[in-house]
Amino acid sequence: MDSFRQEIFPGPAIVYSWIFPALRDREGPVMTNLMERRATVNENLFHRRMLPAALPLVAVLSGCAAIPPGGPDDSLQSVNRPLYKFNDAVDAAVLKPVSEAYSEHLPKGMRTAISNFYDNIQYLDTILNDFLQGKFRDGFHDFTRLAVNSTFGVLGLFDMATRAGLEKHDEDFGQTLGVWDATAGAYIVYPLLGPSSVRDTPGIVVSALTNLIYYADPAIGIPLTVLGVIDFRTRADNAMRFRNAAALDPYLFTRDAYLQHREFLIYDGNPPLPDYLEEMEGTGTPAEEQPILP
Amino acid sequence: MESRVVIQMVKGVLRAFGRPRTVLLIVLVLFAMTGPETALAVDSPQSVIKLTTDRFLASVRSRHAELKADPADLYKLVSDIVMPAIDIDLVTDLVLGKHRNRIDETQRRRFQDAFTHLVVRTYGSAMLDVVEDPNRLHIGYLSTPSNPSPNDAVVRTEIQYADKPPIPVDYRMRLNHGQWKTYDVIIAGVSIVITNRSTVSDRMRTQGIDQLIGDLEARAAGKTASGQAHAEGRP
Repeated sequence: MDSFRQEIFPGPAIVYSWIFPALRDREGPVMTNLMERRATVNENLFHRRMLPAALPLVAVLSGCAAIPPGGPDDSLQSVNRPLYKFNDAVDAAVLKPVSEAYSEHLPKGMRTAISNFYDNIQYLDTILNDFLQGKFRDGFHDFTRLAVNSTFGVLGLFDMATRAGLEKHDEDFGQTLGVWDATAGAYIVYPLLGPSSVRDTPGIVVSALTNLIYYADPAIGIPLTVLGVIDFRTRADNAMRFRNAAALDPYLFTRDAYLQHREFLIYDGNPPLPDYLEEMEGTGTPAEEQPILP
Repeated sequence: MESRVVIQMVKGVLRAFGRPRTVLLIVLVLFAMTGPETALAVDSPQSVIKLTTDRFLASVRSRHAELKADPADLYKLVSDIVMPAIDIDLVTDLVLGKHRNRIDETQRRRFQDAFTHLVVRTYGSAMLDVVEDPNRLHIGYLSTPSNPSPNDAVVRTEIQYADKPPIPVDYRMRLNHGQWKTYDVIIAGVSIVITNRSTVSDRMRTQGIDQLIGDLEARAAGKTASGQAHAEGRP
């Protein structure tokens, strides 16, 4: 399927040129061979325009784990931390108590149905990004899933598709950019929305626009959104409790967990194995002993 | 399968030499070669994980009423059963990263002790839910990718509790003195080592090792006072 994607799908290159206008290829018509196109893009990048600027970047990225030994790009930390605090305060004051009441008073079956409903109503995002990543088979698979769950599953309340062997996927526009080699960029905490990154920012808009609730009449859309937030928070509860037990610094833990989990999603659950063991056994070498420049 | 290989080889040699005596000699040599190998056989990485997890869950099942009442006992169980399967020296080295050469022996020992507490609490808190109803926990062992090196392995599992979606949990293992031990746990792509290494590196930059150790020790001490409080509420 990978080669399938690489061979015939021109979409992401177009996406690329939206995002990075400097890379827009001037060679002419859309090529059918994407790899060729990407090669051209890279050539433009490295040989004509930004070779000196790009070299250190390449050196940094070639190790390419989600979190390099020195920590990820968190140049916005001075803004992020207060926002994280704010979000945390909002959570403690509003979301946590509401979500606790929600899971206490609503029977489990009903909560599951509500979760299914929200998964289904935002599923266009996954389908769109399957196609943008060139995963055609997944795209049709997920389209069938949406169709099955919206009809037999009564507007998505019941996840009939999974029972029928059509398992759920998780794609979004941030992942699409990642699949097409965009790096995460700086970590960002948005007020109320929480952890994100430069790369995941356009995805917020895409997710909103592919969420069918967005097109609903506000009289229905607003209460549905509120319930959706409660559902989301309730589902995140375990992860948050884990964080509170495991984290020495909850801000840093959330940041690193977020960035690593995004990498995990971009690779559809099979990210490359980092070899920090080797990395460490290789230390004591002169390179490692050199003083670190400020 | 090994015996089939031996037979194949024997047949080949037979064809080449056609002399039973030589064949007998070669067979003897082959046996002599396989002998020590079987004697040295170690538990495979996956069976280490499975044995440890099964033992831990068996204890949780048999004592789950009292564990529910007092999670502190759960942490004790983690220390006794799970920690021996973890290469905590290596984990400490990895988490300290380049800083491990810049601290003295006492600092290192204090850091490791306090960090061990954090690991126990991390594992224990992940198990708090399971204590509610240990029989609804299912662990699937997935096929593992090829090992990065002969003494470095990955064990892939999928943990499912009740009707929640399954969570992929990978273990990184290293062969050390004839025993496979875990040096990292990766939950849905989130590595415990990398996450902590990043925090340590940040704290070392901003505060230094002593403050970091102090914070870790404070957390470790808080845990013994009330394990539940840490697991439930934000400090």
